[in-house]
Amino acid sequence: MKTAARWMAIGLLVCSSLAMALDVGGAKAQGLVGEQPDGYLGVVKATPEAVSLAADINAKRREAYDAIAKKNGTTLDQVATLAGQKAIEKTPPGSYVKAPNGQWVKK
Amino acid sequence: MTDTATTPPTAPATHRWRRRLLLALLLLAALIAAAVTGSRWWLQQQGIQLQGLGWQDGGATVVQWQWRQQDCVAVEGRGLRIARWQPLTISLQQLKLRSCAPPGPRQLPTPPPAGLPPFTLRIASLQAPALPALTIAVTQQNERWQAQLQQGADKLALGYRRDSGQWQAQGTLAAARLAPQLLGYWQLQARGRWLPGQLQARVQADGKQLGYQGEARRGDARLLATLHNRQWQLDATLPQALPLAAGWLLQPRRALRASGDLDGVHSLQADLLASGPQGKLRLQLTPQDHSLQRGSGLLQLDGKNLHARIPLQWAKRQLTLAAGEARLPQGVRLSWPQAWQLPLSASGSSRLPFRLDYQQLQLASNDGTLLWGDGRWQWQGGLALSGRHAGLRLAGQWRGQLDPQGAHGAPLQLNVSKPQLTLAISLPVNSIDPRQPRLNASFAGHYQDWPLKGTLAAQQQGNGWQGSLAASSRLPFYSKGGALQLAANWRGSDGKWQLDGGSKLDIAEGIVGNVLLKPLSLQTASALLTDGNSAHGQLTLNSGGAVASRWTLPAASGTLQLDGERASAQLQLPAWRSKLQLTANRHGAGGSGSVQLDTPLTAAMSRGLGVTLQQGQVAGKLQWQWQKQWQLDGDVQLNDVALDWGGILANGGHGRLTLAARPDRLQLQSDGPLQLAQLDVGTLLQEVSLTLRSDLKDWQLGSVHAKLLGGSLQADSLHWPSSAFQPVTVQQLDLAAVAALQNDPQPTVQLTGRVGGTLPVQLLPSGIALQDGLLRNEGELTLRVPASAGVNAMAQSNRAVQLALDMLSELDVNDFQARLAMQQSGLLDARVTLKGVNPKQNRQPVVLNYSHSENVLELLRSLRIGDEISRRVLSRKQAAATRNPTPETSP
Repeated sequence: MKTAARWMAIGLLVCSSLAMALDVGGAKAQGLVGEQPDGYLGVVKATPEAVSLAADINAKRREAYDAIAKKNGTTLDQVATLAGQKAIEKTPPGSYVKAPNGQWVKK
Repeated sequence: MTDTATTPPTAPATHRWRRRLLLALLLLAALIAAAVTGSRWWLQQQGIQLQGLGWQDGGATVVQWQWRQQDCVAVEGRGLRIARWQPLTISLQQLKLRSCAPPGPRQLPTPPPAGLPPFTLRIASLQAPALPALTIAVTQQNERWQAQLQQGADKLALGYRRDSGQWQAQGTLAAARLAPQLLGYWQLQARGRWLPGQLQARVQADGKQLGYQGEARRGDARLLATLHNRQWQLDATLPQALPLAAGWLLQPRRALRASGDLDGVHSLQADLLASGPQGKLRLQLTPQDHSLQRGSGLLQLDGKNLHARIPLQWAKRQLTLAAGEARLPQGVRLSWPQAWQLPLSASGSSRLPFRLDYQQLQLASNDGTLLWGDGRWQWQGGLALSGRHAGLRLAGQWRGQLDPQGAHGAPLQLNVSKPQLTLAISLPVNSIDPRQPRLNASFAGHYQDWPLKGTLAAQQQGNGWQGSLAASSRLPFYSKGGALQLAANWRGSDGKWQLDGGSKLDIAEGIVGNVLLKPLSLQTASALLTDGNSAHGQLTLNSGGAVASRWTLPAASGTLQLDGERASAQLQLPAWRSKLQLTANRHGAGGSGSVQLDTPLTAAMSRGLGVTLQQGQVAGKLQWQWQKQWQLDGDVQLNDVALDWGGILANGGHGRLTLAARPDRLQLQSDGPLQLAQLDVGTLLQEVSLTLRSDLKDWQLGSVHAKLLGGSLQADSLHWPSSAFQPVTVQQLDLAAVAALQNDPQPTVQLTGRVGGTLPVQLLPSGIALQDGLLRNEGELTLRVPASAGVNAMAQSNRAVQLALDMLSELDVNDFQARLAMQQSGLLDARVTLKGVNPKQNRQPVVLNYSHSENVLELLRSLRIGDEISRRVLSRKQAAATRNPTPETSP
């Protein structure tokens, strides 16, 4: 059940981050930010707006990951990694995601 | 009879008188008009023009007038007023005299006409060529003239008798009137005769206490000049050494004899000898004929860094300096490739090509021309600068005119360059007044990838300079933004300069890499003094902080104190309540200093970490050095540290770490044990204690000790990563505590007793392996399998199982051995031997050999032990997610 609850929370988190603000979607569409395997937004093309947006979103994601980790007795990084994989999966084609080799690629 | 005496005039007679009176008035008006018209016509014929005729306070006034000779305005006056007619008293606010003499031989000045009525003339400002503005008062009565000329405290009194032509003058003149740097004064005495076609004068000027600003010595000088009509003679004598600038002395002797006429110099005989710190200068002039019309001479410079032999000659009123060169102090070499020819006349011009060499710099003029006349001089032409200095390539040019009033012409253009530096400087010269120079230069270019643009203003203030600097640039390592603005007021002299308080450097927000750096400003809190090598002063720093996608650095502020070879800084981060103190001492090309950090640990610091810093205090003091290479040494004290990795909690952390960093290595070592009160990884470890030594690649733990499951865990040394199997000893593990991990109020198995042993572990980045681990009982163990529905069901399922459960339902174990091995994959092989008795079945001996294979990561996961708790779960979920991207609702 813990795993199920964790999954639900992660799923909600991913969905909520996608729906959190159109700014995120807009920034992804413009190629400014992209999803990373570590569960956080990365900056593809650095602009003040893109960095600020990523910092804001990532702070909120970390809070959520931390809550999930505490609730499920796992670590923050593990939850974040899991969420990262989910977020990359949900990234629409044409947006940037970070490949395992650290390079930004268009999905 | 009629009495005509009492008879009133008849009407015709009255009318006749009226007509006569009217006629007389008309005649008078016509005469006046004719006189005025005639006067104006006559004045115009004489070249005199009047403007603004009027009447004020009982006197006639003329606002402006001038006297033109042909097309030249010889005299121009303003504010003329005739205050009285008897005697005639005239005042003038300003009178300008200009030279309108046609080219050709100069004529003797004509004395004033005789028979003039008495008059007084006062001129508030008389301006004449080669003279400063003078105040003058002249009176004349009965052919006797008296004049007083004054400028400031300097006065000259003149007396002249028109009938006999005798005149005399006496006065004083401060040497500073000639040049502001000169000290002392001149006493003038003159007398002679001035009649039409005749002018004689004998002038004696005695210089008293002459000197130069900054020079302690004083000396006297005497000039004696005579004029006989057109011929003049000058004799200059130095009874004492005469101080010049920069420590030079003009040696006592009869220095100069010259003669000539109003149009130039006829003869010149001089023997001037000056000596100074750099050497000696001697000028010798020798006439070659009796008439002194021609001659030759030699100008010699001799000294350690001074040398020149410049032959010269004069003939036909022209002085010729042979082509040559002069070595001047500080390695300057002046050369002129062609002879300089200077007319010995009161006015003229001469082309003076020259070249100045200083180290690898050349300043040359090929078309420069010197012009002089009417007491004025002017140089005009072009200057070209080229060469290298201080590693810089310099190229400049200027064209214009130089005269005592300053420079005029196009802006001076100077290009400064060296590898990675290009700077174009433009300096307008028209606004430069040599008496109070003000420079306003603009520059543009780049240094490396730094664009540079700005203005520099400077003006002389006392013995120094002051001004302002406004410059803009952009920090090249910013991919966006990072505009840099400098606004400073500066002053200084003799290589000592200061930036005034309030001078400010602003760096705008910008991007470096993927980090957003907020605006930063650096401002001088007090004057910042520098001699080019070091600086003294205080600056304030305000930074808006930095933002990256994973972390944020809050706003910081502080002060930076520069004290010559030493500097210190204090920074505060109010949002984190952090304090940072930095010191630096310069030693030659290197330096040393300290870094002191004192900060609480807060969750806000953890945004970029996988761990959340809950509380604690970190205080560190590090010493740094930078000579041929840098090094950093110090220690960090941790107190009351609490942190979590999400579900893994640690608190009560204490310890001291020492750090030694060099360019090629870093050493982190505990100073004494590092302690954690509790580490909850699902199974609670308490009183964890260890020593640490690491270069951030290899981690060596020593004296590892922790309380675990009622017992303890210890290892003398653990090395990560290492392929060696390193023993970890566990003692007195309480089996009841192990059983309690089931977290079941009615556990299937009840255990008591304690076990211990050795677990050789292999610590690699890819995982942990165990080989030849052995656990033994430490005292008697008990094993109870209480009856329960589950156990009963198992017993009823199989007779053998029932028999085994009956034997194990209550077992007193006196010999327990568990041999353990685990692969990196987590697959654990356990071979367990239990020897004991069943107290409920007549203490029948029981020997149980039990082999078990279990993936320990799964086991640990089930016990919530270790970081690997959900790896399997996650991998399982990943596989599931690949098949079905929707979140699962079941484990």
